[in-house]
Amino acid sequence: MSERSTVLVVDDDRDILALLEFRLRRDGYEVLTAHDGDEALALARRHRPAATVLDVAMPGLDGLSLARSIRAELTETRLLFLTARASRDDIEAGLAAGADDYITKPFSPAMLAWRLAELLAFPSAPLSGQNRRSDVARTPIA
Amino acid sequence: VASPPLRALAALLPGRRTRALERGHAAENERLKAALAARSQEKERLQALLDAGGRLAEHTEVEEVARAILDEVAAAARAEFGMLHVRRSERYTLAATRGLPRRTLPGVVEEGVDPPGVAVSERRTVTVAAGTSEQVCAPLIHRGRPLGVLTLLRSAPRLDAGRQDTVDHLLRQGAASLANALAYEEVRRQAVIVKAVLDAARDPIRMIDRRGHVLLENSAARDLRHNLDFAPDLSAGELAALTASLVEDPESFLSTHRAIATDDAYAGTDEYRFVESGHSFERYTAPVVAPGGDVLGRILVHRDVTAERATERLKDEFVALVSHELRTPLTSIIGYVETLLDGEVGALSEEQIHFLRVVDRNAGRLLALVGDLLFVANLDAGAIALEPQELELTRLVAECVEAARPDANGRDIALELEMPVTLPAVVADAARIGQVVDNLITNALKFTPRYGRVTVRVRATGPTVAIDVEDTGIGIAESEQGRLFERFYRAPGATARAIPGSGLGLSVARAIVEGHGGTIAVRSGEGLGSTFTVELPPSREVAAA
Repeated sequence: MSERSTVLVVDDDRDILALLEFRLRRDGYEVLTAHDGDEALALARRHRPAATVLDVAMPGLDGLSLARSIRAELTETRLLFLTARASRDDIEAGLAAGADDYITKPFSPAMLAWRLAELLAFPSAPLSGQNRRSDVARTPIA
Repeated sequence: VASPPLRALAALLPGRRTRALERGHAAENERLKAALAARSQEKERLQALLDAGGRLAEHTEVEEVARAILDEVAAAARAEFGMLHVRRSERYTLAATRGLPRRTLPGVVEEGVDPPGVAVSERRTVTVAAGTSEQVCAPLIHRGRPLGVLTLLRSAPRLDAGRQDTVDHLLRQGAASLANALAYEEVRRQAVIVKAVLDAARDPIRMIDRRGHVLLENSAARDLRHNLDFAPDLSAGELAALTASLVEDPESFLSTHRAIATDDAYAGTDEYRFVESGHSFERYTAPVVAPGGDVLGRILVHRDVTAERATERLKDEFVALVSHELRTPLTSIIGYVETLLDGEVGALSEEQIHFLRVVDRNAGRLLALVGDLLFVANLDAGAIALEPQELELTRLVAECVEAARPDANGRDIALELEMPVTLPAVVADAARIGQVVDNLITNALKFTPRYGRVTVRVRATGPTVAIDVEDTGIGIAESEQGRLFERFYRAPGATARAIPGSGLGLSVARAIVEGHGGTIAVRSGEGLGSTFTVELPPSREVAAA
């Protein structure tokens, strides 16, 4: 990374937010955190992050609406859902809302960092559908 | 033939002859009169018997019949006082009295005790002199069974043979009438019992005959009919048609009725829900078969399951909520532990790494349990959708085996995999079938002692494929095998050995396998190891499902 990419992390659980912030800072990202959708949208507009890691279930503006709003305004940004919602329908809804990747909780921070790096390294070539499918298959429980 | 001299003599004695003749006539007349009198007496007696028989047969109530027997026999025997005890539930109780107040008489006659009791036990008339009068006790016997005992107190002279005959006849006829009345009473008693039992049930119960006419319904069925504003004389078919117009899925509701119409022996359970009230009913129906095998009709029981369904829904929602809520903290625990173990926060000592791995392993177990709970809740809510696709079963099973190998090595258990060279194509939900195989292998390792062996075998069984997971473990008693796949069931052996588990794994496995149209079974015996076999149907059928 030639310059520090800005990553916006949105989760209403403070512990998870802190974990993500810690991990991504260590990986060299500029990290912005938000606890709900409205706060996240304001930060996204102001800072135009290279990527946003967001939850689905949040108070106020939910993750799917947030994803659609960000995607509409920042076409280049990478969107990565990180959520406990793991059914096939949930995942399809997330991808339909404009997400580039979808990771289910509980998650491995190392895996998340790797997938994020991959997304940012190839901004013009989002993950193929097949990779997304494999994520669905990995999902242990609907 | 008389000689002339005799004839002459006779001519001389006309008067004597006439007198003799007259005497003969008079005697004959007397005899005739007596015969006529006897005939008319006999006729009267027969008429009286006939009348008495008619009066006895008039009644159906036991008390009325007892009263009539007592009156008729007492009149015939010229007795002023009397009482009659009737056998009911193994006791002889006072049913009728004559000329004496009830309270002065014994309420119960015990077999073999006192003259009436002796009359019953010895089945004969017992007569006891009592001062100037006599006490006569006569059992009422029908088809060899004593049904009662009649006691008379009489002071009139002994009965002549004719009267005795009448009395005996009346006793026999009375016994027959009493038998009928007791049978009626028993039928009514049974009807009362059946009605009481039926009405005590809160579920509407209806019995219909083979043409669909309602033979019997309990008060709950009547109430339901009232609530729905249905007329009381509707046939079962009309009731069904009317009900169908009020339920959510009339077609499915009526299909049961069609099944009944075409199959006398049909038995089954279905469920329907009223659109307006939202009440759910479970309907059970089965034929009613007479001892000879004739179908008398059928019974329909409608059980209100509204509250049950609401509770189940609440439970599912609760489990789903709790599972989600449990996952959030688990996500933090697992994520932070991994970050620590990765050395992201600094180097760790051996012991620190060891302890963190324990935390990680247990968080993983908790997560698996939450997953199973959530899966089961979704299963109940009908929210589990399989995603079948063509898969390489041998590879999937091999992956499961390799994933379990560290655990097997750690316990010194030989984990072996046997696979055929070729296998029919399998269409299944890879993640779910993997979950089942993982589960069976984990179980097998858990219940197998050190130095044992677990063999995983994939084999073709004609058009189907089977996966065996065989172990040399503690085995499962036959009595427990039926319950093994029940939710939350844990074999006593597992609990006694403190082998961890939630009792969900096998119920989840069964749900997944059955969702594929397959079967899961166990072959085992205590101390003989266990073999679990999953059989999956030909791929075409899964794809269709």
